[in-house]
Order: sequence, then structure tokens, then C-alpha cells
Amino acid sequence: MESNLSLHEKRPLAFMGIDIIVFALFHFFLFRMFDSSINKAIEDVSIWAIAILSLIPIMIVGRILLYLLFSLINTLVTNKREDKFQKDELGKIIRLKSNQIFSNVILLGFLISISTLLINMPLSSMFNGFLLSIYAAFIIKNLSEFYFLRKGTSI
Amino acid sequence: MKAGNITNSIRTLRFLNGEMTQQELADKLGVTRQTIASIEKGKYSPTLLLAFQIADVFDKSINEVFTYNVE
Repeated sequence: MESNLSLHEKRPLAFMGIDIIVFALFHFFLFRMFDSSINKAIEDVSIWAIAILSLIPIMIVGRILLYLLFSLINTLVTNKREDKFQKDELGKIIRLKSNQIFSNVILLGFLISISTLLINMPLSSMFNGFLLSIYAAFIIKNLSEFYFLRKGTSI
Repeated sequence: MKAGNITNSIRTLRFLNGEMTQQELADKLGVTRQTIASIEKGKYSPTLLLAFQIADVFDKSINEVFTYNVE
């Protein structure tokens, strides 16, 4: 069945799939590695700092590798090379808007996470909130990119 | 001031210019076909620079290609 999505529209969906895979793997290995440590020293903030900071290089490498794979499969299946949509003016506006949404979700997540301390929830809930807001921000960024591509946008 | 919308006659102008494809127009302007398709459908209003460049390709003035409608 022929898909009615253009290559550019498939891109954020592919990224979303990639992000979900990376997050799931990251979370699985994170809790496998630190489970005992977290249970013993739940208030040890250095463990959480390592967990959150290590997500950044993992996300970058994971995205690069899996997106290369996506582009390769897409080129083989459709026989079309991806053009430089990200560099033209509509692509830049969409990227700018979705990055703004990404930042807002991160900020909102940060505020909600830090608010958990006000209602006497454990420190781990704040860090879990941080992680969750990072995951949510990436997914919402991809969804907003897809939305702007489908519905259009203006400056 | 009331909000308005911008319509364009790019589809007609492409037809009158030897059924120029969206890809051909995109290549002349250095943008992607996706951007041309979005402008044609009215989903995206181009920058002033791109609007002038589009008019230039068809050898028209900008207000022959784009029309501002006050609602």
C-alpha cells in the first residue's frame, strides 16, 4: 500500500520511534545498573546526575546511528534521496517552533518536578520527573514537527 | 487591524509556464518541493525575499502572484 506521507513527514515519525526505542533501552539499562544503588542510597544525587547527564550522549549517538539506518532503508525502498528540507526557510521555521515547544516542555517538566519536593515527595520523584520531562519533550517535539508539516505554519 | 490571509496563483503560473513542476520551481529557487507545495496550498506564507524570487521566476510583479485578502 502506497503511503500518503512525504519523506519529510516520515522523518519526525521515524525520529519519534527512534527516541522511544532509545528511551526504553536507556531506562531498562539505567535501572538494571543502578537499581541496587538507588534502593540503598535513594537520596544520593550523584547517581541521578550521572543518569541524566549520560542520557545526552546516548541520545545523540542513538539518534545518529538509528537515523542513518532509517535513511539507508528509506533510500533503498523508495529510491529517493532525502533533500535538504531542514535547511530551507519552511524547514527552519518548523525546526525553530518545535525547538521552542521542546524548551517549554522541559521547563514545565522542571517546574513540576521541583514542585514535588514541596509536597514532601522523595528526591527520587523529582529526578524521575526530570527524566520523564526529557522523554516527553523529545516526543512532543517530533509530534509538533509532524503537525506543522501536515497543517502548515506561519512566522 | 483585521487579520487577513494571502492567496497565490503559483499553480496557474506554473501551468502557463509549460506545466512547470513543483520540483523544477523549487530547484530554481533553491528550496524543497515540500515548501513550494505548502505555499501553493496556502499552508505557509513565504518570506518577502522568497515571494519576490517566486515572482521573478515567472517574470511578474509580486502582487500578480500573491494577493492579500482582508477578512
